[in-house]
Amino acid sequence: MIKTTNKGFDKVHDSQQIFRNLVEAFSRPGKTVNILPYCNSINPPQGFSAIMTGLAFTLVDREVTFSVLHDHADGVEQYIHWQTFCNQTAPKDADYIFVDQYMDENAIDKLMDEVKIGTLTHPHQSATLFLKINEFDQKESEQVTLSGPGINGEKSCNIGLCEKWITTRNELTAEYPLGIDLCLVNENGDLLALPRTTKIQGG
Amino acid sequence: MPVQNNFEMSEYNFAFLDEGSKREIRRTILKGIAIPGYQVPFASRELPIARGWGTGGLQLTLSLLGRQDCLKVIDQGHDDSVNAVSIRKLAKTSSGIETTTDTVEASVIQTRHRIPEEKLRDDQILVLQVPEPEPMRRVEARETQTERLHAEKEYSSIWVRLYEDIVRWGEITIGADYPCMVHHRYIFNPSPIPRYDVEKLHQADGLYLFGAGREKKIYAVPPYTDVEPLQFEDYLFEVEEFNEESCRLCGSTSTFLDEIYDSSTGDKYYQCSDTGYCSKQQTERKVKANVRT
Repeated sequence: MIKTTNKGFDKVHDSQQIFRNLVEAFSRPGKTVNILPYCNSINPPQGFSAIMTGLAFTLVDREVTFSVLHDHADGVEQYIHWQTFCNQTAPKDADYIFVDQYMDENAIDKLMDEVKIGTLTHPHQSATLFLKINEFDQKESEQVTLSGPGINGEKSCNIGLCEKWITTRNELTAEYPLGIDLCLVNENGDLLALPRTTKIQGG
Repeated sequence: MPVQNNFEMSEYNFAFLDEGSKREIRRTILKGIAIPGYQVPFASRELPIARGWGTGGLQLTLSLLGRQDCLKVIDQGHDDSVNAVSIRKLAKTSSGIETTTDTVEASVIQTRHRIPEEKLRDDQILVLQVPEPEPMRRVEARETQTERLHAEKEYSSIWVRLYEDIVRWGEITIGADYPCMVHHRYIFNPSPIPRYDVEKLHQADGLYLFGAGREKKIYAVPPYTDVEPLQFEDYLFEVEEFNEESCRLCGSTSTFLDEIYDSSTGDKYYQCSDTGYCSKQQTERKVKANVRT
């Protein structure tokens, strides 16, 4: 039964807050923002991340396409489609890709080989990847050094990504302005963006 | 005369635009931030003001605004010009948010043709209205061609234009809207801000967003990004000088001044173009004068 006290996701104000946090994260790569308070009310099926769902509600609709990589992707994709009218597609055609599952090196290679990186005349027709990670500050992940627009000089931080993600991402963004924009989130609602302009060294 | 119904703002969505329009503009803004200086196309919705009157900036502002925001709108530095007042009123009535004339208090500032005197903080966003986003439009009329030139980073036509200026006039004659290179990749128009303001874009603390409603383009200069005005080794970029003139109202000598001409007496006056800053300076000066007496 639907609880009437739960007002659910506020499409006007919650999505505005999530968007402004995305603006902050994209314009200051490496800075962590938190969007948990605006995603709390969402109850996605199949154990899919509420944070990811909040991001989908903020960004996708009929005019774009999305793809979900999750152990029960079908149910999640149908849910997001019903809520936003956004059409699901294969990762190679998707404008927004939501990854909420463990991927081994082969799977990462396969995904990163086919995602859209835009064209030289239309570099904006590229994929934005949302990646769920366990923790930014993992012991096994080494510190990386970030530089580029939005960063005052250099910034050292933990981004909690394994080396495979970083190397494949660096390959895709080598020929600027082509590339993908990466956004990392954890279940606590912390979010960190790595747009294509950010140089990642080390890790 | 037909009876005109009262305009009921409550029938409209928060911040006027519908959520679908906002979402499309928001996606475009994020792409723009990820590719500094690249003109991202967007749909540009209809608004109650005509295209060419700040609709690009207004759409950015309305998509950014939330209940916690405080908005300032200026037109050539003035808080009280007709265009600025209309835009501020629309944003206020449709969202109920606070507005201000004080640059320091604002979280979002929409502006036409000026960057405020007070330095943009890292928690502030400046939205600029853009009449012509394409720096090569004067030399290449076709959009398909300018797209290709940007893709190939083929900017010789702009350099030739600057060179021809020097040959003909002995200096680069572009006053406002001085073309700049951002992040060593794209040449962009910073909107018709004076050359005096161009340097504020380079390695700034805050975010600059540019909206061209009529031309349907959005682009951005993120914080801490290199913005270099085009110049030759022997003909350097120069900002406007005021020959030590001072503002007749606040006495400031370190601001961008407007020249005002009195046609009946033939006198020239100078006063600050940033009215918010000027009135603050006047208040401070009065306080100091009172303390002295």
